[in-house]
Amino acid sequence: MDALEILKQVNNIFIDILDNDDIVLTSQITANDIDEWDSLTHVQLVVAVEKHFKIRFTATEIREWKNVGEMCYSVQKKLL
Amino acid sequence: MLVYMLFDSIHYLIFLSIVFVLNYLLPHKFRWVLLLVASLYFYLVAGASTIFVALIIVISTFICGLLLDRGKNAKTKKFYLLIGLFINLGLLAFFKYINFFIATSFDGFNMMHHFVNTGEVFDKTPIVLTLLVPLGISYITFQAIGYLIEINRGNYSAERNLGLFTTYLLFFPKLLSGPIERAHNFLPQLLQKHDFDYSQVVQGLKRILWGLFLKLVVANRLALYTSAVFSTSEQHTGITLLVAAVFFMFQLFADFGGYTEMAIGSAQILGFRLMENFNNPFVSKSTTELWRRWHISLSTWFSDYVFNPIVIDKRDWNRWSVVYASFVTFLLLGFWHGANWNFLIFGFLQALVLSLEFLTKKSRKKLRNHFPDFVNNIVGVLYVIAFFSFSLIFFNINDTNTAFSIIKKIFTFRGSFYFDSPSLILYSVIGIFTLLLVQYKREYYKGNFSFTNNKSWIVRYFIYCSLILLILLIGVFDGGQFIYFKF
Amino acid sequence: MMKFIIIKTKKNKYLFFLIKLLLLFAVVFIFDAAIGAVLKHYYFKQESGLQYRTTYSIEKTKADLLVFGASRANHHYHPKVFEKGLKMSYYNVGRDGSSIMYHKGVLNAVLKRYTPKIIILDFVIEEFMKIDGNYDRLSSLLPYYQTHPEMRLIIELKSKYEKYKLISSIYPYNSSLFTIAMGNTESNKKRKGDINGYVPLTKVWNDSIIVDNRTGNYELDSTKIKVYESFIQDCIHSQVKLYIVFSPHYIKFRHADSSILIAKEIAQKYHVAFIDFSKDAFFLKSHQLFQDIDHLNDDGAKIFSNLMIDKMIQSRN
Repeated sequence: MDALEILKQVNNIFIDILDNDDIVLTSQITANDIDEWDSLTHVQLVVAVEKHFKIRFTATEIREWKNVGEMCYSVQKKLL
Repeated sequence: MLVYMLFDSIHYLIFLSIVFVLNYLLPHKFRWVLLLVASLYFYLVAGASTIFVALIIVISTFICGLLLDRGKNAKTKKFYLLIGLFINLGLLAFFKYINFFIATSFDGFNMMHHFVNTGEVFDKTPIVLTLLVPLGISYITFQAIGYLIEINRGNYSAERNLGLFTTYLLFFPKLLSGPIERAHNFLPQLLQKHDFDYSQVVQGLKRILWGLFLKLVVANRLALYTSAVFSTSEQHTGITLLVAAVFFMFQLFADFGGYTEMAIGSAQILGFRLMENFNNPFVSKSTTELWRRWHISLSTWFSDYVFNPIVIDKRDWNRWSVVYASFVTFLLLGFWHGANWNFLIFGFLQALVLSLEFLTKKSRKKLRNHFPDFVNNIVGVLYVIAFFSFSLIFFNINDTNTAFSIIKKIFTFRGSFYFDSPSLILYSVIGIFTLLLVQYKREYYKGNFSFTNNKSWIVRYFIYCSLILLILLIGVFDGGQFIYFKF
Repeated sequence: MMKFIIIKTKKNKYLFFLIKLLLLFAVVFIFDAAIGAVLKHYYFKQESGLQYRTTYSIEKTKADLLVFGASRANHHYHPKVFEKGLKMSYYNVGRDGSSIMYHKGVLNAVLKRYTPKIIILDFVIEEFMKIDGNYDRLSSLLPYYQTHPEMRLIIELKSKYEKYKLISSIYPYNSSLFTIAMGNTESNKKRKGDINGYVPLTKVWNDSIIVDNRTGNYELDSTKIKVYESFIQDCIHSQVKLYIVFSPHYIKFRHADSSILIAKEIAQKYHVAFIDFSKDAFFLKSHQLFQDIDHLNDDGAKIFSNLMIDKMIQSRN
């Protein structure tokens, strides 16, 4: 799966979990850019992403993401 | 009887002035030495012999940090992290909590038995160790622990200079009551060249002035009423206790917030930037929002090192991971404040309400859509004030029985209001209003106009003068100690 | 000229900062002096009330008989009884909540102006107890600091840096703004709650007698004891006849109070009469003479004052 496709699917997950159809993700976006994305919803997003792609992140990986792009990159690595 | 060099004492102002002058006279590379010496002096004035405990914490953390950094694999790293945690938490637990643990283990069963049968909580210990709690130990250990965790996570490397590291942990503006500063924010500043920056110094002085105002005019004045009422709570009516509880919440903010202003201001005039501890907490419309605006350095510490790791670790529980993490975090946060059941209850209440807010987030949003914004805002603010002042009754009253009976009274017994002296109530209410106005202005009218940063020097001077004169006119001096440095 | 200074000093930022700071202090000082002067004017313009009575005690009274003490002094010693019984003028300089340090301060001011014939010091239990923050009450004497050098040492006991706080003209009136304002309203000026400093109490205590089981032992404040002793010394030196009194309570004390014992001892040392009414059976049976367990009402005060006069005449012989 390529980076763009992953981004698209993650975008859908965000729209679903955060209940906001207007969300458009780019790799630079961080939690500061989206209102509903806080430390509490963050975990829900992580779980949803894990379930969707059937992968499991480590706590360290989750902590190290600085933006959406890095999250997607982690997904990509797990799918290889 | 220890005499602390409190920020609102003339002793401290003289001390600070001397350090300030020397700071800019000395060549840049010796400045951190000055700050270290000053911090050690500051510590010795009150803590005296307990400085040895502080130095043990500093040195052992320093060593653990270096060993952690050099650790070749995750296992060795973890080992040194655990040693560091053990020493810090061990010393903290020993000095602060030993009596609580003795009481709980010896009397734990009795306590439960008694509580179940009579509904009363008693915490009488058979053995009480009278230990001098080392000054600032709660703040020092937490900064040390955060430092080690960050190194273990690979985010930062260990500090190699023991002198700089000691200055970081014992830096006098934040020694007694925080903010709980992150090593990677502070240590680089020790090495930066701090030229005399006129505007920074002036800003720092403004903060110190505002902090003095909050402490002397607002906090100490409210304390006259609340301490009179709560020390004889059996004699007072429900309405009096209710007002005293609300007063206490504002008093706590003015006291702790005032202290923080002076801490941040003291650091600022020396050229250092410490993190903010408060962000207009009384504009909060939910308890969730409140804890992002109240004691920020502590709540972010718990967030980064306790709450988030737990939520991530237990994320398979979905929403319940957040509930679980909330309870663990806030019980610990409550307990951090003091070795007593009432603090645990305080923490428990926060966790309970935060969990409920979290679980009902969507439905509350739907409910709010039915009402105009200003209604939602007012309801939110009143709700936070009501809940927080209620939970602070447990924070304030050490004896849990008394706390419960106060609450019972507030809800059942009506009666007349205890006025003390009319001027006390008048000054108290004025103090609270001033406080709230300043917060609302800072939150909602940020750009519009400024008092202390006004373009016209006449306006600025008018404000500075007014604050100083008000302190002289209605400030309560020798009024007592800051609440938060007991921790 | 200002622009010139500003440009010159901007070059040296430290100097610029220092000048601005001094400028601020100068402005504050000016306003402080102005507002302080206004407060002082209205403080001393009062014609009745607590602050007026304190001023009268310190600056005006020339009565032959003075009664010193706290609230019990204020409510127990009836002026008409003393004036008639001893045929001398009377003024009550007692003040609610005051301590031996306050009494000594007022004594200093009084003795500087004249020599009363008799002084009665109403002494209370726990007078010598060490209490943190207790010296705060001395704030009632702050307005007199500048004009009464004889009171300065006592006032400076309030705290280590009191001298420096008193550089401010506003500081002596700290927290009094409201009281001063109220005291200057016409209605308050006309209200006189006292007779020569004595304040009569009118309620009656209808509950049973209280038994006090406390040990009477506690940490002592040596400064307070020293001040008490110098109070006695000053009276003797000025040849004032001094009586120290432990007036009635509606309380049965199980144990003797340390302060009372020490005070008696010191009084004896100087051959000063210490009259103790705490075990007087008559008062312990007469609840109707008390307003509360610590204070006699006006009826009680009259009776007590008569008994006092008898005791005073007795001890003279």
